[in-house]
Amino acid sequence: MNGIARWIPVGADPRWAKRAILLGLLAGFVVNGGYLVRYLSAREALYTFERGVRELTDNIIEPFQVLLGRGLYGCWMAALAMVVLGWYYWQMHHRESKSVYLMRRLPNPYEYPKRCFSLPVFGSILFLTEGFLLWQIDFLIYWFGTPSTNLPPVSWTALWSIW
Amino acid sequence: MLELKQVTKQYWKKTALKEINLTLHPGEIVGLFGENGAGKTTLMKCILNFLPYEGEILLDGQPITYKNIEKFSFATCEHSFFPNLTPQAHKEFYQGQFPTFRNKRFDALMDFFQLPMRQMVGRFSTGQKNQFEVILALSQGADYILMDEPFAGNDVFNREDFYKVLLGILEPTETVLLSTHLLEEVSEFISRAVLLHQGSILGDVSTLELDEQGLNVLDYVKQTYHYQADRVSKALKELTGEEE
Repeated sequence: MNGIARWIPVGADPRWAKRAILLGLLAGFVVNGGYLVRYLSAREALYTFERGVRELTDNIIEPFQVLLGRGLYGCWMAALAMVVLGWYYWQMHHRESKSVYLMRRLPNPYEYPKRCFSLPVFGSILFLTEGFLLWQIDFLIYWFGTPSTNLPPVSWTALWSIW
Repeated sequence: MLELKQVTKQYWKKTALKEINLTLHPGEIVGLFGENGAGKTTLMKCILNFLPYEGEILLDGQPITYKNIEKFSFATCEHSFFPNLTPQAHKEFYQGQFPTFRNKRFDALMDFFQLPMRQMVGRFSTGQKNQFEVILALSQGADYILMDEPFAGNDVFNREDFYKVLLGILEPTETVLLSTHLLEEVSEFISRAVLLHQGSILGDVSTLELDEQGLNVLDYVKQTYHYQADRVSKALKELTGEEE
């Protein structure tokens, strides 16, 4: 048994596990897409069209945290879903048979927790990292994509305000 | 040598095992008998460290930890195999985990019971699942083989075949602790009988001693449990009387 199969319960489908991780990553990106839509719309609102000419107003763009809204929820939810995955993997050893009796008799005491919790822990870290990176990217887009005259005076503090 | 000293197990207020003292010597085939709820399964689970308990359980003078747990194998009617895995994949997993895994014995037993090597175990019949569970326990390479009602659901021919094979393949150092209700069936095959009743050891006798006394295991069990032979006829009389 190679690759991911060594890190999930014996008999669990490694393709399913890979798909679950990819789905979590995708959920993070898709939900974050909402921020981009809101941001682009807010930036567009900074301009007016008069006689076919696009002109920048002196309006201030909405604060970062308002535009970000629930844009990182996909990552947080995916990370939380890993708790469910850990429970599911642990439960696998009690379904149809009690393979837990074998796992608890193995000479390597870490084999059982390794197979139940490695992927959920890895997934959680991955999704939290994804959330952190998206948050940074979102802010960079906000900071550099918005004309400086239209940025709120306390933009930098807005970065941290989501916490 | 496996030693249980003053082993007590309580579930909330119920005492499942009460000050059990028991020693199993290498090479013994011990039948563990008792009514439902007598504590047979609990005793095995305590030996395997699946349950916390009071007292001491020592294997060759050492407490049972992950360092010596591989000296035990366990066949249970609840089954401990992986249902989504084939026997072939089980074999590979066991080979990776237990350096003492007996390949030859595994192959021979699979062959004997005519179990398919490349079908998921979850799709086996109940009888086949039981057989496979026992095959794994016998092939792990353990010194102490614990079996908890391993043949529940198997037909009598199957079980008889199994006892014969078991007697034939066991090495002198392999110890078997077999919990079962099938007293008569195993009486020819065990070397010692331990009787549990309400969490305590009610009797512990070797079949050699029984032979000397002119008793068989069933007689001994009935005697020890104070079995009233006329119980059924009395009850029937009472019932018939009521009807009249």
